[in-house]
Amino acid sequence: MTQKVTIKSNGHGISLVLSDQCPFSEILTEVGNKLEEAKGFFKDARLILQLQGRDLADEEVEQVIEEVENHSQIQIICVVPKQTEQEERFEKINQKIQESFETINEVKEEIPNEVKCEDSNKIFHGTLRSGQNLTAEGSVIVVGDVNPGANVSAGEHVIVIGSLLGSIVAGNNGNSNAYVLALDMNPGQICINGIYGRSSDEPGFRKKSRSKKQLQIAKIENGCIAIENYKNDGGK
Amino acid sequence: MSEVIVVTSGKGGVGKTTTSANLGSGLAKLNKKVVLVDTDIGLRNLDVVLGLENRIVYHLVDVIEGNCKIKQALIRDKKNPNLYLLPSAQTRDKTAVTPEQMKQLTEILKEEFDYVILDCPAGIEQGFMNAIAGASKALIVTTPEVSAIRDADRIIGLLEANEVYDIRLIVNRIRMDMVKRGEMMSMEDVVDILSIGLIGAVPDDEQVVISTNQGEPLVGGESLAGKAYMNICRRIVGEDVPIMDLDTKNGVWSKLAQLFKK
Repeated sequence: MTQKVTIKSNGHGISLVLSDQCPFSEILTEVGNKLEEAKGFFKDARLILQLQGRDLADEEVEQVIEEVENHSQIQIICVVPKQTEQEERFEKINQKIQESFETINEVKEEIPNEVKCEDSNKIFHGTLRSGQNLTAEGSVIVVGDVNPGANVSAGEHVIVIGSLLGSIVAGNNGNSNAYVLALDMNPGQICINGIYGRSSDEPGFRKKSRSKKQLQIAKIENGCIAIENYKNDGGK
Repeated sequence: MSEVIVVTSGKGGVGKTTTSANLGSGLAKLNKKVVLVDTDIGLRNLDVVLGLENRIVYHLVDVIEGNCKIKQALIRDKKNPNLYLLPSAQTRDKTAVTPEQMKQLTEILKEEFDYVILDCPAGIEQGFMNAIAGASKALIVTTPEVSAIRDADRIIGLLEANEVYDIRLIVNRIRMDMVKRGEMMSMEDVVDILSIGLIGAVPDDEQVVISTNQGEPLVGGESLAGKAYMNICRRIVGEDVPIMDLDTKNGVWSKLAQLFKK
């Protein structure tokens, strides 16, 4: 069953979609009820009102406006009957632009971002740089640094033997026990099985620590990402 | 024996063109035959930095399209008979040439010159692809700012993906007073992040702006930046020069003291 009245937002205000399956009086009361509910949301906004779904006589339009003004503090700037010609024209132009973009996209050459590697588990030697992605079904080991702007995405665990300054997604296979290990843990973002954590917005630049490095582990604890010093506790 | 070197950075405004001009002049002063190629089609300015803009008749795109011979387009430098410039076109855009054509061009230039230095445009689009196509070595110019370093990091990745592995770093516009106060990254910090070899560091020096505006590269001069550029040139030709200590005081008294030392 379709609703008698639906409120939709559009670019410049709200649209009231009025059903043409029931008598006009019912529509009127429904308009009142709906706006009463949404009173707190709209407050005293200045809106353009658009009426759709039902052909209305001039006096019926007047009645709807009155109903809107009685049941909310909305200030109606003007009433637009339906989608205007202008909007249709805009839509056509939009479509054309989209189409031309699609043809451009076909022509342009792909910049190679995917690092070459095989198997479900991957070991990468070297520095993962800004814009480079490393994806694996299983776990990933990076022997080197993960720089800011680089992304590692793994179904299971991620181990970085070096500085981790980029973004990590681990536990993509739905494993909430997945962990991220790094020798110098300073990531922009870590996501384990859909739970995100990001580094604090401390001012200054993220440096690679040249001092003694401490192996750290990031995992889910109480629904948050927690980073702590790594202790070998026999795989508990 | 001859080498094709691309000077690139990713980010704009970090000093690629200034560096290219100074390295070109410096290598020429070391008695090498050098050609500077401005690959920034549509936004040419290497000719201005060298003070040669009034002598341009033919340009890079003319050469590639066969409108002239290479020799006709090459402009000899005012001071260094060893240094030539192949200017870029101002009225065309990056798509006027292809990476394959640039590769052919650099092959031909290699036969005539000891060093072919390509001044790369900012960005990673076709202009960049054109510039690196024929290069076997790359010099990355960056400033000690996070934005420039991020872009440099991306460029290094793209160079490696395009099989340019000999990549060296130039850290430009260092201000030692700020580094000391912990407000600017040091050379070591930048090298740590980018993990490539450093070939030189150039201090932030107002003399650079002056020389650029006068159209005369300052390499080999008395200024700190001029010395730093000369050291880079020496390292390019294979000399073992230690990285210069940029931490000199710029006060009136220390300048006087230097005078008396002489």
